[in-house]
Amino acid sequence: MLLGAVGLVIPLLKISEFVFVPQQTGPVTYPRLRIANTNSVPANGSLLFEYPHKDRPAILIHLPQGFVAYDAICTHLGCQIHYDQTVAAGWENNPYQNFCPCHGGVFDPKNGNVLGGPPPRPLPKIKLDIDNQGDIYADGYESGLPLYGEA
Amino acid sequence: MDTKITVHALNPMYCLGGLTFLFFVLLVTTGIMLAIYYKPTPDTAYDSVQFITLNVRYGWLIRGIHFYSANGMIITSILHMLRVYFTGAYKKPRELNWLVGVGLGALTLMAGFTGYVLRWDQEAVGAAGVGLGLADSIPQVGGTITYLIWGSNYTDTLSRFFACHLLLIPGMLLILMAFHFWMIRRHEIAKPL
Repeated sequence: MLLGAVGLVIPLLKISEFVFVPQQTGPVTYPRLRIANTNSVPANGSLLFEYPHKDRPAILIHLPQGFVAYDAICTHLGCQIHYDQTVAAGWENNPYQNFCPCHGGVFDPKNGNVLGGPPPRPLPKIKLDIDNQGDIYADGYESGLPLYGEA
Repeated sequence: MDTKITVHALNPMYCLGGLTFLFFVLLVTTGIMLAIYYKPTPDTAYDSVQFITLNVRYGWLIRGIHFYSANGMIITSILHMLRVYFTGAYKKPRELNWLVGVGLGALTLMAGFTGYVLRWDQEAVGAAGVGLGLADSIPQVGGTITYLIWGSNYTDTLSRFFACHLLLIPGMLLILMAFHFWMIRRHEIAKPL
């Protein structure tokens, strides 16, 4: 009887913590990871890598203006985007696009903005850092947080 | 007050109505808790659901109980209806209670539908669109009903679903349930075939 009462009261007390508004956790920190060397990605080429953790796809693109990198998860429903040189060629006078094959979402490779299709938000842009040897490092995000699917 | 429970009513099949009510009690309790954090506007609804599931202490549990109780309530109410039908318990003098039960079943399904829409993800918006299309297809009154649900934009629609799900439907369910239970006491549990 007593055991039953305790067994009921303790879980109910724990669950009543529901009413306390959770504190926001501190600023999220992202790792600094080497992606590739500038020599290994030709002009107008792209490279898939994982950032900020394993199995989270990201994409590095070598534009005429320089290197850019984005989270490679479409902000619509979470498919992986790729840098497509043919499918959406010519869109908005820009021959190269970040393209999502699921529902045809198109992102601007220059800044990650949505050019077409259903995505509601731009792609998160990864901050890049290139050292003297030409090694490219990913170092956090410039814009576009929170990441799709991760609170 | 003395209560006589006839032996045949100890069969588990006769517990289905009570189980439906138990699920309803769970739904009201967890529903009140979820309403603390839920925000019924198109911009914030989905994020607040994510917040409940991922950030609020035991939010995943409360939301899970609400979700599974909702499914359980629909399943047990349908089984309860089948039991009443196949044991002939809807016959005289219990016809009115059968009709009240049909109303309760319809309200339960409406509660399920409106709750589904409150999540406001892509599926929910699609479901709301289908529901509006169904309402619109009713002859004569369809346009009026659609307007009542839709308002003038999606912000109105979500507010209206919110009001229906939290106040209108549970309120009507409570009134009909009180009547349902009162009539069971009045008629007593039906004799077996």
